[in-house]
Order: sequence, then C-alpha cells, then structure tokens
Amino acid sequence: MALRFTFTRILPTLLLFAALIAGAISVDYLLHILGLAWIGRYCGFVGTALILISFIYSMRKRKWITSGSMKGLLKSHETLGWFGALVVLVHGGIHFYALIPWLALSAMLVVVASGLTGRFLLEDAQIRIKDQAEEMRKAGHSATDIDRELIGQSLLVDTMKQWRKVHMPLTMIFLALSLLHITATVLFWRW
Amino acid sequence: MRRTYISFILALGIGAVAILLFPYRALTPGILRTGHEAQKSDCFSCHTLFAGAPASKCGTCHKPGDIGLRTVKGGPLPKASPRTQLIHRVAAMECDRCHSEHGSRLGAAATSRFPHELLPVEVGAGCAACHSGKKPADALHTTVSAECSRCHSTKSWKPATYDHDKLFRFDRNHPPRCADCHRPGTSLKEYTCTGCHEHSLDRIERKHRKEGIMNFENCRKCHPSGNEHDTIKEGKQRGNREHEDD
Repeated sequence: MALRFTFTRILPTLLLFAALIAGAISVDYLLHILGLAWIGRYCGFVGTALILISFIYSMRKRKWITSGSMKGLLKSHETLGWFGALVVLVHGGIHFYALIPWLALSAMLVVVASGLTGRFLLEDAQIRIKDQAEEMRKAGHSATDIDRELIGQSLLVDTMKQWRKVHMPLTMIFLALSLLHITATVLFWRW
Repeated sequence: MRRTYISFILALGIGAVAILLFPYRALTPGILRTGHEAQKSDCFSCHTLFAGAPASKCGTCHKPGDIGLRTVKGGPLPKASPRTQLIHRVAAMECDRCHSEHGSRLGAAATSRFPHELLPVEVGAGCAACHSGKKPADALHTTVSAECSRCHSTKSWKPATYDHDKLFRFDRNHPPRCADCHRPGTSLKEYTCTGCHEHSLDRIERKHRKEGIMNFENCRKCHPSGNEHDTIKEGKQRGNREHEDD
C-alpha cells in the first residue's frame, strides 16, 4: 500500500523536480557545445517573463481580474512556473559568484519545490475527499448527507491554507531577491 | 497576507543592505582579473550607470597609446607587442567588445573573436600586419605567393578554404591532397596528372592519339574532374586536330 502510494503519488512529483534540474543541465550543455552559451544571458528575460505571466493565476485568485477559469489558470501557473524556472536555471548556469543572484536562484528552486508540494497536497486532498464520498455512497448515504458532510471540502481548504502560509512568504523572498538582481543588472548593463 | 508582505520587505531590506555593505561579493558576475583589486570596493571606478564599462573609464589607467608597449604605471612591458599596439591604435571599438574584466573560475574570461571588420580596410586586408610570424614554412605555404585571405577568412582561420572546383573537382579517386598533383617546390599553378599509375604518360598519349588528340598537355582544360566522361568539348571536331593552346 505504502509502496503503491509512493509510486503513484510521490514519485511523479519528485520526478518533475528532477526533470527540471536535468532539463536545465541538458539545455545548458547543449548551448555550450553548440557555441551558443551567450544565449543564456538573455534567458533571464524570457524566464522572468514566463514566471510573471504565471502570476495571472494569483491575480485571478485575488479577484484582481475576473476572467479565466481557476482550474485552467492554475494549470498554466504550474506549467509556466516550471518552464520559467528551467529557463532561469539555464540563465544562471553553474556559476557561483555573486551572492544576490545565487540566493535568488536558490529561493526560486525552493519555491518550485514548495509549488510541487502544494500540487501534490491538492491532488491528495481531492482524492481523499472523493474516496470519502464514495465510501459514504456505498454505505447508503444520500447525496444531501454526503454534501453536508463534506461541505466546504474542509480537508482541502485546511490543507491548502496551511500550505499557503509557507508558499507565499517563500515566493515573496524569491521576488525580492530577483528584483534586486534585475535592478543591479539594469543599472550596470550597457544599454 | 501580512506575513507575505513582511517577508517581501524583509528580504528586500536585507538584500539591499548586503549590497551596500559588500557590493563586490553581492553583485560581481565573476572574479575581477589580476590588477583590478582596487576596483573591488568601487564598482563605479569602471562602470557608469546604464552605460556598462565605457572605454573612457578603462582609459583612466590604460592609456590607448601605451597598450602593448607600456604598463599602466608607465614602465616598459617585459615583452612589447607591436601587434597589440597596432590593433588598439587602429580599431575603433569599446574595450568590453573583446575584454571582460570579470573572469570566471571555470576558465579564462571569454574574449570574443577579434572583430576584424572594425579595422580600417587597408589594415584589415593585409594579414601580415598582425600575423607576419604565423605563415608556416611547409611545402604548401612556401610556394604560395597569394595573400592569406585567398584561403583563410577572418570568420575563422581554420579550416582554410579554396574553391578548387573551378579548376578541378575532387572525388574519391582524386582526394584534396595537394602533393598528389602539385610537385613539392613548384608553384601551385603547375600540376601534373601523370603522378599515379592510372595516368602514366604512355597510357595518356596512347588514348588521346587514338582519338586524334595531339595536344594533351593541359589535362584540366578538357577534364574538369576525374570522371573520364565529363569532358569539355570545345565545339571543335575531334580527330586529327590539335587542341588550341591556352
């Protein structure tokens, strides 16, 4: 049972993170052997754009915008966040000089890990609620009873609420460090 | 929500303080090259806001006329480089076009390929001005009197290229090996096809006389490749007529 849980639920999440790192290393290596390592510098712009676009979901969640389905925007937030992180990793490369960009990159990886954890928790909570509803149905409970029991999907809400208390501050730290890095680049770049 | 904003402000504040107190450690994109230690504590000794590192800042220490000849302190270089001096004298470009003073632990800072297009035409056309000591003393180069640019480009020195197809097309039996057809010590304008057993003088003479061709000194005039059926017929009847001389 535990093994099945590990393989069907935990492993995909771990593999997504591993794929991010492996993908970034592969792309970086490819760029170097093709003599196109200079592209990495400009990947910073692309990665930042992808991550910023992924925040449309956050704006929709806070009702700053009202169009777009939550489910669809959440999916795009996950996808754009993952790809944006990959592009930023290629931009950073395997360099460890300046403290601020290095901390920003580390914060980004922590946020991605946190995001993948949230994704896992959301799916897990949804599955548990579905299983609970199924059990109640088999036990002969009416639909009204089931709804009343699972009203507000309290398990899901509580889980995500706790998770957000971690994910949001981490994201803010990442954004603050990125802002410092981008500002410094803008100030010192030859335009 | 409050926790979220506090996190942002705290991270921003701590980061900003770190930059103000330790700017080099906080922001450098790479270790500064030897000789630039004094610049570690003052980024603006080389950088101008929104303008990168302009040549005027480099010129504060590196006098353009002294590059390649003297040190920044004014003393003579142990080994002067007239070529370096020429490049910096004639090529109008920003220093960071080729030089990156923020090196890399992983290897030398990438100085890009020298942009030959920035040299004045009369200087750029003559490779010898900078590369005079580079001509190899091998059989090929000692017989070539043409300029280097005939075979070498400024895009990449190697591989050398020469459009030999307009003279003779190489193939499996005629690979691009200079010595097969051009005798060592002779000009590359001279060639011979009788160097291999397939084209012995007797055989060539016999085959051509059979066709009524008497003048067969300049093989490539009619044979642009090793394919015996790929011959150029000059509109003249073949028979007992001789080919016209070149």
